Amino acid sequence: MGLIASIKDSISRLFSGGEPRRIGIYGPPNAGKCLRATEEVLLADGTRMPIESVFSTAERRCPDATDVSSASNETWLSCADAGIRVPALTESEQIVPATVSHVFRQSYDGQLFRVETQTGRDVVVSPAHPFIVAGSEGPTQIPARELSVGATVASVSTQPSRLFTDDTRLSTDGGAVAHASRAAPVADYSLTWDTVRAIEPTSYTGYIYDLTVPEHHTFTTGSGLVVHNTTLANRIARDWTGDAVGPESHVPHETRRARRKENVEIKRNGSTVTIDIVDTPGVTTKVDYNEFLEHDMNKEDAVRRSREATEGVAEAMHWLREDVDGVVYVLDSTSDPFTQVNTMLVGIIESRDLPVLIFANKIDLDDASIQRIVNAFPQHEVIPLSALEGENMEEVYDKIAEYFG
Amino acid sequence: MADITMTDGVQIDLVSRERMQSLRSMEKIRLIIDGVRDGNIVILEEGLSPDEESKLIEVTMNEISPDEFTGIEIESYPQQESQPGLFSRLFGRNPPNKLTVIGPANRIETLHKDENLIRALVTQ
Repeated sequence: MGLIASIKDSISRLFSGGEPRRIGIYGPPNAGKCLRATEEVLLADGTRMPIESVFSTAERRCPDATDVSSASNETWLSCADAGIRVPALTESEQIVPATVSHVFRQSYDGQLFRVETQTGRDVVVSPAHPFIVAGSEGPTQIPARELSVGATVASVSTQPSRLFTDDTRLSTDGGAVAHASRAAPVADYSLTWDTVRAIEPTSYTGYIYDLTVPEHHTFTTGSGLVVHNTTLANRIARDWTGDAVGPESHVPHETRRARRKENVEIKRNGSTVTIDIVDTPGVTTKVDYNEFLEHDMNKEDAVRRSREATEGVAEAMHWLREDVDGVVYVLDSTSDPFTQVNTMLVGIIESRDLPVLIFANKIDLDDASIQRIVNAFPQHEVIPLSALEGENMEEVYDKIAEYFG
Repeated sequence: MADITMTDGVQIDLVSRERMQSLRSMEKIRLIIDGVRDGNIVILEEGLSPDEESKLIEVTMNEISPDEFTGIEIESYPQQESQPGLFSRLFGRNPPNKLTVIGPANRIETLHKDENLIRALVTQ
C-alpha cells in the first residue's frame, strides 16, 4: 500500500461509521462433544437411528454440503436441507420437533463415559458432552465427566403418545428418517426426569458424532436422554446469525461459499450494533493431504479437502490484510497459547491497527487457564467464556458492542 | 548470504539483515519459499514484518500441492511486548522481528521454543 493510501486507510479506520463493520473471527479449530458411533438418536417421527446413520443420511441427501470444519480429523456438514428432525427440549421445558442444521464426525481415540439411569436408559458419550440436569435454579448443563450418581437428568418418554399426520403409518426413507414435509409424522413426546444410577469410563477408538440443532441446542438419544449439541469455536459466530439461539440476532442474508454473515444485529443497552462477520478456518502454515487419508478418506477426497483448506487459509489471510475492520481471536483456554501461529497472527492484527478482542473459550473445562492467555497477550483485553455453557455471553456481547460498534 | 552444503545433507541458507533489507516484500517471500521448496532450511537474521508474514502464509497456501510441497514450519522468538507508537499505528509498521527459522514442513520439527531458545529437529 502506498503512503497516501496508507494514510487514507488509517484515517478512514479511525473515523469510519455508518456501514456495518466487518469483524473477522480467527483462531484454531476446536473439537466437538460427541456420542459413540452406534448410539441411537430419537427422531421426530418416533423412530430411532444410530447417529452414524444420521450422519450418512445427511451426507447422502446433501451431496454438495459445505464442510465447515478445517481440521483434518473432523467433518462438519451443513445439512438443513436434509430434512432430518429430532425432538428437542425448549427453554420452557417443552419437547418440540426441530431440524438438524449440521452433522459432525470426528476421529477419536480416548476415554468415553457410559451413563446409566435408574429406568435403564443408557448412553456412551465423550467426557465433555453435556446432559441437562435439574438444579435448584432450574435446568442446567453438566458434562458427562462431572455428572454424579443420583443427579436428575432430563429425558423424554420414548413411546410417543400420538402422531400428528394425515397418514397414521410411520413414513420412513429406506428404514431411515422421513423427509420433513407436511405429511411427515411428528411424534408428541413429553419431558420426564430420570436419575443417574452409574457412570463408568470406557476406552474407545473410532468415530464419534454430534448434531447441531439450532435454537434449542438439544437432541435426544435413542433411550430418551436429552443431551446438548455441539459447540465449536465458530459456534460463536453462528450464535449471532440466527442459526442458533439469540433473540438479539438477525441475519437477512448469508453467503455460503465465503462463510460471511452480513448485517448481524446485536442489541445492547437500547442501541443496535450492526456488524458483518467473517468466519475463518483455523490458520496454519502447512496442510498435508496424507493427514486426511488417516481418517478413512480416499486420495481424491483427501486432496480435494486439503486444497479447500489451503484456499480457506489463504483467503483468511487476504481478508485480514484487506477486508476486516476488527478481529475476534478465539483461543482454547485449555491449550498453550504460545504457538507461532498465534504469535504471528496477533502480530499481524496489531500491525493493521485493528481493534481486537481475545476470547478465552472453554472456561467450563477443569484444565482451562485464562491467566495463561492473559500472560501471553497482556496488551489485549481477554474475555473468558464458555460457548458450550453460554457462560459470560453478556460480557461477550457488551465487549463486541464496545469494541466494534 | 552463506550457503552450507553437504552431500546428501541439509542445506542451510543464512540470510543477513542487509540482504533482506535490499529486497521488496514479495522478493523476500519468493527467496524463502524457493529455498524451502528446494528442501533448504532458511534462517533470517532479521525476520519478516507482520504484513510480510501474512503474505508468506497466503503464498505458502497457494503453493501447496499434493506429493510435492506440504507447506512450511516457521519459528521466531516472540516479539518484545510494547505498545505501538502513533507512527506505527498510522502506517502499520511494527518493530522488526527477531531471528527466524523456516523450513519444509515435512523435514523440520520444533522440539522446544521459549523466548531465548528455539530447538528444532531437521530430517533429510
